[in-house]
Amino acid sequence: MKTNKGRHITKMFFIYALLLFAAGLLMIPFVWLISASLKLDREVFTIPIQWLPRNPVWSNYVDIWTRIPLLTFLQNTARLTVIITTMQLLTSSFAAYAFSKLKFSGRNVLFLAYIATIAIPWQVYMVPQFIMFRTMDLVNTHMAMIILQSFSAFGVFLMKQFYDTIPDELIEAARIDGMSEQKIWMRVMLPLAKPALATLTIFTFVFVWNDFLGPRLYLTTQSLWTIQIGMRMFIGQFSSEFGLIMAIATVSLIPILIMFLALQRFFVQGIATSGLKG
Amino acid sequence: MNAPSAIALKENPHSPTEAMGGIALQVMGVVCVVFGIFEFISALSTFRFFPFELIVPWADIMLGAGGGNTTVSVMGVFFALLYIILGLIGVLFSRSQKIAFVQVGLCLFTFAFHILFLVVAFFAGGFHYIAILLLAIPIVYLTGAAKNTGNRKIKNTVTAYSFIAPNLVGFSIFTLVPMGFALALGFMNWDLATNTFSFVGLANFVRMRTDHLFWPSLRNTLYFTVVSVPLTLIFSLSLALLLNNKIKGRAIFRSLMFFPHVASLIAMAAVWNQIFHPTWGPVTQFLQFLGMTDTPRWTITPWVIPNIILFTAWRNMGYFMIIYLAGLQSIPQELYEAAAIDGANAWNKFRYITLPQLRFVTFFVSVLLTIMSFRVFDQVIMITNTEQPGSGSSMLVVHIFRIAFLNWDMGYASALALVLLGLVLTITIIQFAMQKRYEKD
Repeated sequence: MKTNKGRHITKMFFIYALLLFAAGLLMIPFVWLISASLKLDREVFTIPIQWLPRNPVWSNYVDIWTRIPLLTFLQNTARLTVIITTMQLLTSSFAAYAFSKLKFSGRNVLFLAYIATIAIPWQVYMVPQFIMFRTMDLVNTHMAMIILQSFSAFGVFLMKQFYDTIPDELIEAARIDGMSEQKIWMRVMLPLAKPALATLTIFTFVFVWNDFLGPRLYLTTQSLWTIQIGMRMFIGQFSSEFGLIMAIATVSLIPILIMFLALQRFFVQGIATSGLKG
Repeated sequence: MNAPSAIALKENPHSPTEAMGGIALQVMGVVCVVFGIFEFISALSTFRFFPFELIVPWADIMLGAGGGNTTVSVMGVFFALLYIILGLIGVLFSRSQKIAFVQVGLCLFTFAFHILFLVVAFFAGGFHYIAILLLAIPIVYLTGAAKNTGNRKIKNTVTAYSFIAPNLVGFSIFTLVPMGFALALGFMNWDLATNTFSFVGLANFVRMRTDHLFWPSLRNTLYFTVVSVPLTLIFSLSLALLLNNKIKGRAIFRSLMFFPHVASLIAMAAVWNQIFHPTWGPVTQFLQFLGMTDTPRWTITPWVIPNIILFTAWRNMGYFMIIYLAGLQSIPQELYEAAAIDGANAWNKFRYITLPQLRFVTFFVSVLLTIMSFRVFDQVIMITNTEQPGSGSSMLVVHIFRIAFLNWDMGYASALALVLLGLVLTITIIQFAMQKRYEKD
């Protein structure tokens, strides 16, 4: 028994050591990022590297707001993220209700078509889509980004997967009570589907906030830029001012970090279920 | 169906739901008439009898207005009258069951005509995206009329489609149509200045033979995929196995390892380039400390692609770790207990229980990873710090981007996109087939 316990302790020691090592290794870029954001440009390149800046240069975080239109970029990104996430939540949860709880002809064929398109990369049809938007005079507007990303097949798929786990008897009971389908969706389904809504929120939020190629193609005027594309241009233009670049990068991560910490429990659940049942 | 439908059939005609149908019809009827009148004026304005567009500010968002095309204007007038008639019978007969069938039919016809008109106006000019949103009018109208018919099948179908419609309409127009268009555009050339197309047959595909950046891009993409898929898979499985033990602070470790996946790629790639910088980067310093004199220059060949692979693996392993973790947790514990009784060691348990039980997860992860690998773009642009990387690091999507949005050669870019689609589909089908065969054995 004793040797067994001893073996168990050694095993746990190795597991913790390995986990700490792996997590530490994966975290290095973030440590470097925050460390560099508090340094003078020349300090960033010292050999050997100082992980803790001797005199933190907090002014980097003040200067970034005046050196580039950072506030405009953040506002644009926040606006797009909020609108697109809301639209996706509404249209996806609405459509998924029909796919999961209503019987109608064409349901299976239509749902199959939805799933099939998830596998096709956006890059395959981004060119014709761009020509279409150009013909509609939508290029270089935020409306283009909103229309482009508001109607997702993935969102419908994810919501349906979750709705399927809600028992049909509940819906039938509500129907007997004389509730219309719209009311059932609003009063019964939505409150029960909070985990799925949270998952879709964080998926969409992260995607739109970090999207680079979409805004790169559609937004050409600087006043319309999102944070990612603004950051990319700044990195190109001021390639030697690393302290500033890293301060901007840090600021751009904060909303994602908050969102992630608030909803990460649902996120993990969502990835696991949407991934595995597929 | 069972009991509830029987009760619904006996529903009182003046129950709240029935009244809702009537109200929806009256409201949407008024909206239809108003929209019809606006559209009528706008459509007429293009005949130049009277320059309505000067006095009606909405003229440009109405279909057909400003296009100056006679067909579109004639269609516009018919379209407007259709909406006015539909609106009037909606308001006047908002409760009649017999007329409700007529309303459903007419409404479906109007809806179809609206879409047809959208297509015609799109190609002839005078198209505004608001006109797509106006499709909501017939959809809401239809739900009201369907309720009044008292026919359950019509009512159920219309209700179901009204749920799907907001997503389906947007999704079809902005995703399905471009997808179909992508197949055709590969065989065409597009003129930027005039926005016109010409059919060129297989010329775009023949051109690939002499494209001196296409073959390197394809080769690099395959190289990237072949190395990064197994690498990420092994990393994420290892992390998941570590985390699947009974340890304290599991949620914290999980979040830490997952965060690289949600952090902005642009920001983190900028950091990555500094960490791997050939002179002052900590990685270089570390390699020199180990005694390596000829340290790799990570942003040029031959090290640039391994660098991009490492960066991508760093970003993605947390995501797939979570999928693996869910898979590990669904393996029945009895299997391990039985194996322990038989005296199996840790390796045998992993080899003969864990791996076979994770078969499906591994299959799923490898399909996802392969599709992701073929789309690699942002990383390449950021690590090489240029939108036009050369033959050493260009990838398929990078090349498509260059041809389409830097050279504005849309036809050729679409042909390249079809190659991408072909590759992704072929590999997914092979993976599915392999999975099937494996399941059989």
